Amino acid sequence: MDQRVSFGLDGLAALIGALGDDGSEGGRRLLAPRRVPHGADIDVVWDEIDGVDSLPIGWHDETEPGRRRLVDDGTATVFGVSLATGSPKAIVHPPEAPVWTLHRTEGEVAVHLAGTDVIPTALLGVRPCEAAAIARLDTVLLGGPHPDRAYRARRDDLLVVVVECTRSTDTCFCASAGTGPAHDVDAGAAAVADLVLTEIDVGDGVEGPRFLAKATSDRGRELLVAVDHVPATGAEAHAATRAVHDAGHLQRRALPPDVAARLLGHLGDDHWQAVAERCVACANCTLVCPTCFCSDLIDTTDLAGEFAERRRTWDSCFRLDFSHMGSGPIRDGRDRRYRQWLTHKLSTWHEQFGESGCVGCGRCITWCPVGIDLTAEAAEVIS
Amino acid sequence: MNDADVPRVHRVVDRIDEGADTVTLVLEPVDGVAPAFEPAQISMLGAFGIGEAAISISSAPTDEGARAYTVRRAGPITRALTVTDIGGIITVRGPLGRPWPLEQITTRDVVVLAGGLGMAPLRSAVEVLAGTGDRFRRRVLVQGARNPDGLLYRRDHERWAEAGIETHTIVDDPAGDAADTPRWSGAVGMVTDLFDELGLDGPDTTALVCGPDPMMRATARRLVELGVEPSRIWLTLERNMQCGTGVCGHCQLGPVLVCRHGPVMSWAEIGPFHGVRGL
Repeated sequence: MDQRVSFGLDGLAALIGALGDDGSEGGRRLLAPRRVPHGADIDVVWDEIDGVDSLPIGWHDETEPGRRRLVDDGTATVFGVSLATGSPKAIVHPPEAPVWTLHRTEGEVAVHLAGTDVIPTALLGVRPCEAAAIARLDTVLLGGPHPDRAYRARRDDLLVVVVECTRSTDTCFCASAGTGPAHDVDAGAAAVADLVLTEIDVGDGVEGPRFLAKATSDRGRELLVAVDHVPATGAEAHAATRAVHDAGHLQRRALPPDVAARLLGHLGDDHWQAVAERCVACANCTLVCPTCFCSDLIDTTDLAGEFAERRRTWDSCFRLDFSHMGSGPIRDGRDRRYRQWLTHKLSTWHEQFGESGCVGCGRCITWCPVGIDLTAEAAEVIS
Repeated sequence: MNDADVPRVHRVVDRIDEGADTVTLVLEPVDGVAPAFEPAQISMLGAFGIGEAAISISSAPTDEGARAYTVRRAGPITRALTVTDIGGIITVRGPLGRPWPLEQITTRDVVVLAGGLGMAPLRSAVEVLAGTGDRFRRRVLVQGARNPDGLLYRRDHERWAEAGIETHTIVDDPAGDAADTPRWSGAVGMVTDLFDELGLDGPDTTALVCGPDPMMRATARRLVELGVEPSRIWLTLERNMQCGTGVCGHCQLGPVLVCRHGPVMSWAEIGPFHGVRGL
């Protein structure tokens, strides 16, 4: 078992340097929740970073159903924003990707699969719930008889630095989902993380934050070689454990107990219709969800009919066409589409893939334009 | 490396007209032999630049080389497939999915129940049963359709009967759509209407069922009433299948991804969900 080590902002800068350096000329692509201008304010999105200054130092996020604000708190906290606007799903399972091309010449057709060459990539600042989400995508896209080879290529070389949460927002419920705020190897994220950081505020106003780090893979250990560090003190370790524990303890939303089994007994519940009266079927929840994996396959040709291309794009079970059959869509009402989403996420995902489809990040609550809270709706359905 | 995600170029070597909007296409790979398959497995048939449709293989597993697929025109993809001429190109991925468990049947009787185009994934099973000789006490085929035109593969019935399969047909609408349809003198009604006459020995019967969802539901429930074990009532399911490899999420039916766990499922497995409207 690796012992935790400790370093300051200089160490974080050195870590960022090591993450971006894989020995090649161009280096490794390094993405993190980056601050970007957004009108007079900022937004925080997963994007390539240049250094520590790209991170939203001194900002945190405040959320509630249907609402999220980024707040400048004047602190020196580096990882104060709980969740970037989008999740790392967009990096490992992009919104759009080529699948194959077909070329027709004189009655013959040649098939070319899209290449699986990937840019070596590192992620810094993946939250424990997001690491668990990547592990669940691994199960879905790689665990079956026909693994997704493009996803395989993106995942194989991915370097992941998890940052544990020392605060929760109003919409977080990872503690009840068993995925956070601590990095828990039991959540299936063990195969995802290479290094786990915890940021603590030492409170002297001089030194700035300290980062406790623990390597969880050989590549994580190699990264720490490049960073000047000292063994974490007992006080630092205690502060980190306490902060992470409190972040979970203060969450006020939770998945109902036994929700997976109980939902299946309520497929005919009247409450699905009550949700449908508020749901606008915009699909935001499925797009921001870090585990929603459904894809559409789109075929197109050129005008001459000599070239055809297939692309994969994100799809959503809230779209009427999603369940299209020759006789029309199966889930023709919003009540049926909401039921599909919620029961898949919280219940039938277990049968399909042996775990829950929900990691408790709360993005679906935050980004729902009408503030529908799946924890409350699930509780109401099974009550 | 399993290459179920790679389309393989096939050529149409024969077309058999099966009625107004349905055609059986016989496909052969341009680069060698078609892989082995088991009855009820599907392939993703691709029309150049338009898309793919999940179609079950209808020829006998023992047929060398070419594979038969019966396609009904229902949308742009199946339309493009059905108008492909002999010599034309169709891409194929597969075979995919869980087949009928023909080798595992332990009952003395087996009954095949087809509704309309649902006969397509059952044809290859009937071909296998036609070659099983005295392994079963009774082998029964009940084929229903909306009208006489919809009774697929009637040309095979005589051969199947000679192989010892009790073959029954029934239609819902004997007049059919066309005024010149030959007069129907056979049974009228639903597949289940023939059950009394068949005298099935429920506890010693295994059933293979395919047809529209309401037909499969009604049939499975009636079979349970006759004492057939729900785990011996096998259905092949149809949902919107896009990838065929279990990763696109479209073909869910409750806990089942039809392309990954099916398309063949037992009533014991899927019954509680099959009857939920809009699931």
